[in-house]
Amino acid sequence: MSAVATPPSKRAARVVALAGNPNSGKTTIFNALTGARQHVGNYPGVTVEKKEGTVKFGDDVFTVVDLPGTYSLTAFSLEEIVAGNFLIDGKPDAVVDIVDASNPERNLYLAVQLMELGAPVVLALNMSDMAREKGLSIDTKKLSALLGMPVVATVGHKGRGLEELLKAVRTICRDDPLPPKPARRVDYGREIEPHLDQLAARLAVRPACAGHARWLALKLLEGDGDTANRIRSLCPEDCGDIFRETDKLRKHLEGVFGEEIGAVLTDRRYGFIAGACAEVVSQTAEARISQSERVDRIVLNRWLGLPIFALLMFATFFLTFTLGQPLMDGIEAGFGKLGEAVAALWPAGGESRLKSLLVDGIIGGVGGVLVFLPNIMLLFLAIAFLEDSGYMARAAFVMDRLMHRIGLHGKSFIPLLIGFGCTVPAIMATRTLETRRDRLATLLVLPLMSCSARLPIYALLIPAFFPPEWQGPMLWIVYAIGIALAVAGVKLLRITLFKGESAPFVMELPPYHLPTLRGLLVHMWERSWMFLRKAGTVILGISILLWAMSVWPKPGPETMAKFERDRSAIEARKDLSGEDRRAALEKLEHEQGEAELEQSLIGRIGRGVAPALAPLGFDWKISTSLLGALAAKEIFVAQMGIVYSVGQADEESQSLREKLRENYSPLQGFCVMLFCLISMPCMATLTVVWRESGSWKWALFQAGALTALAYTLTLAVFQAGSFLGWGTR
Amino acid sequence: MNFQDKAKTKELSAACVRSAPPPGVVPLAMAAVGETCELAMVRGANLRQRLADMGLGLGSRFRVEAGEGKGPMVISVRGSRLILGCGMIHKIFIRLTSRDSKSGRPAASQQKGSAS
Repeated sequence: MSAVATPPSKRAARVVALAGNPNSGKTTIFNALTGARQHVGNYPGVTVEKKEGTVKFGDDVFTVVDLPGTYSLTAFSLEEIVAGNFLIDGKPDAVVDIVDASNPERNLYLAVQLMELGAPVVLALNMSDMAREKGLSIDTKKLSALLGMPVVATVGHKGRGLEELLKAVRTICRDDPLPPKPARRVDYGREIEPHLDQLAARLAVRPACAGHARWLALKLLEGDGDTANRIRSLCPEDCGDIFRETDKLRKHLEGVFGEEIGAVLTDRRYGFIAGACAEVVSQTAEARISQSERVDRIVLNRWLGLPIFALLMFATFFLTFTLGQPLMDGIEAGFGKLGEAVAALWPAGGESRLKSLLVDGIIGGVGGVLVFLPNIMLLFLAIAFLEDSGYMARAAFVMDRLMHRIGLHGKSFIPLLIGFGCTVPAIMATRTLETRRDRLATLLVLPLMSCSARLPIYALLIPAFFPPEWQGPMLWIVYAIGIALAVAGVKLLRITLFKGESAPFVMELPPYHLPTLRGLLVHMWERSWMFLRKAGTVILGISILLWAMSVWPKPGPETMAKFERDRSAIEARKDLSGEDRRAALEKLEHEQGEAELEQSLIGRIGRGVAPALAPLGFDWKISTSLLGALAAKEIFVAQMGIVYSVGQADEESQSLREKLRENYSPLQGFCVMLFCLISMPCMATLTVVWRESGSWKWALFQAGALTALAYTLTLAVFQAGSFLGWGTR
Repeated sequence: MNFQDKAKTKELSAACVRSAPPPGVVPLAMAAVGETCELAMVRGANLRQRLADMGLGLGSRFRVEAGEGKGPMVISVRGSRLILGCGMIHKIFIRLTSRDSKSGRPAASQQKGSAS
């Protein structure tokens, strides 16, 4: 086999595209093939993830591209368009079509289209073990002869059949040019075939279209606009005659069949597949009700569905927060130690800007965010489990009735759920929504799902102002307000900006799988990495900026001199014990910190906006901290610690809570939480919204609208509360 | 644009049908769990093509697996199960073929079309 030496120039990595239906085990095969050698990028121009990896097989190196799952080459969602374009324009050296062997009929539809396209396809009959369990056996040799493509049986999650698959890929890559294989063609019948040939003949004379004239003719008949544009751009000469001919044919054929020609062609392809299946698939055992169906009778039950769903959600959040706590404490302690260790590099008592930058700016800022990493990773792990096991599709079903009422469909629910973890990956998860309208409507209200970064704010404020028996319900109320506002927001968007019906919600219900540990970890890591990247870039940058703004400009020399005098005075006093002296010095240092902050840029801005926020019950200290929260919501807590000069503060800080209790009423505390919940999302979210919506206008709109909403609502609550005397001191 | 005109015409023709669906043709919402139906009509070209791509072309038989009334439905067709959202079940029209009890799942060979 390897006797044919490949010329070195051809040894460069061949591009192998992995195509297949959603739930066909494509990603499992991709992970099994490439292992850790993968990276995620974007397709040019659009924000659909492009996953690439490399495989070494003998002397050959393949670049494997994992395409988004598609049912056909007719594109509906952004991801399908990308997959289709890559297959057609990207001209991969080989296409591996992953077919769920336990469901051959539907899965082979894409294979037939690829065959018609004339792509160099290798068919992987994946999950062949499940097919056997279902009592299906598929004659691979016969199928290969029927479709004119190599067919390999694989079991992705056990890594079986991968070597044969790569061998087939290598062979198909070497066949250059492809020898014509005696494949059976889809016969579109007496009414269509002659016209199809005629149109194909017209296309075949154009050199640019000669390669897949029949495919192009089919696409034109279907009325595919992209294909028409492609032909227009490929052919230098005038193509008017082709389009005129197409229009005439479409009209004629629609008259004959009385329905759209696209549907007729689809029907014929399925007819071809049904025939092929009759030949190669044999049912060796009586089809019985599968385990999945039995489980679904309970999970999808009209009355049990919602309670089961609610229980699973509760378990998800409960596990996330209870298991995450010790890890969070560990990370927090670690960063604290790191800060101390770095601070120890400077002589005691000496003040240095670099030390302050490193300890307060960088370590404090990034550490404050990384503390949430365990929570977020656990939440993503739970979500990956729900997705990989197949429950997410059931959740979409259970939630569809509710989501439909507010003008979204069940699929939008998944990003909204992820939004409780972190808005950034949640916004990325809206990519599965098919129309831009649905995507934008979901995207714009997503920040109202209270993300885990806002939790520290609640965790600081609720115990400070409310008695223990009210703390749980209070947290619940804050989350519920966010959800209610999101619902109202979507309703409003639906009757104003995004009128019209939502995209058809048709989704496959995959059988339940026991997820593989590896798959779970990969999925969890992908999403966590987005969060980490945010911490490493945006938050690091903004922490430094905020730090600088809170340090400069310095108070005037006379103020500094006064503090210096006071310090020497304390040190000179003989009547103080060591302990008392240290306490006095510390108090002085905090006072100095407060004075410095007041003079600094951020303090000045905070004071500047304070009058505007005064009707909401916020003083300049809260205003200053809210400015910090623009970078990342959780920074609010650290900023409050600085303005109240209690030194290092976190959400467990009792001294900060006491200060808050002294200075504010419960009503003010509630208003701060309300404002933090609703107002402008963090910088990272805005950046992602900008990228995902393709326009900074949507990001600005979101920031503006949410801030306006937050202002109005908080104003109403504070004024009404003050008037009625609720929660005031 | 040409395409939009065409879409309008389609809507109009759909509206004509809307007033008088052919006898025996009812919205999917009328089907009960366990019933086997035949797809008779789909409102909206996009949805029609989408369903066809997923194996649910006009004339295909399927079985209602879950969901009744106003909610979404799960149907099984060609060996896979599909969720049809709330919005879909009033756009999809069916002919009831059997009110079966146990295994109303149509086998592949029963469906229309063949390889020739």
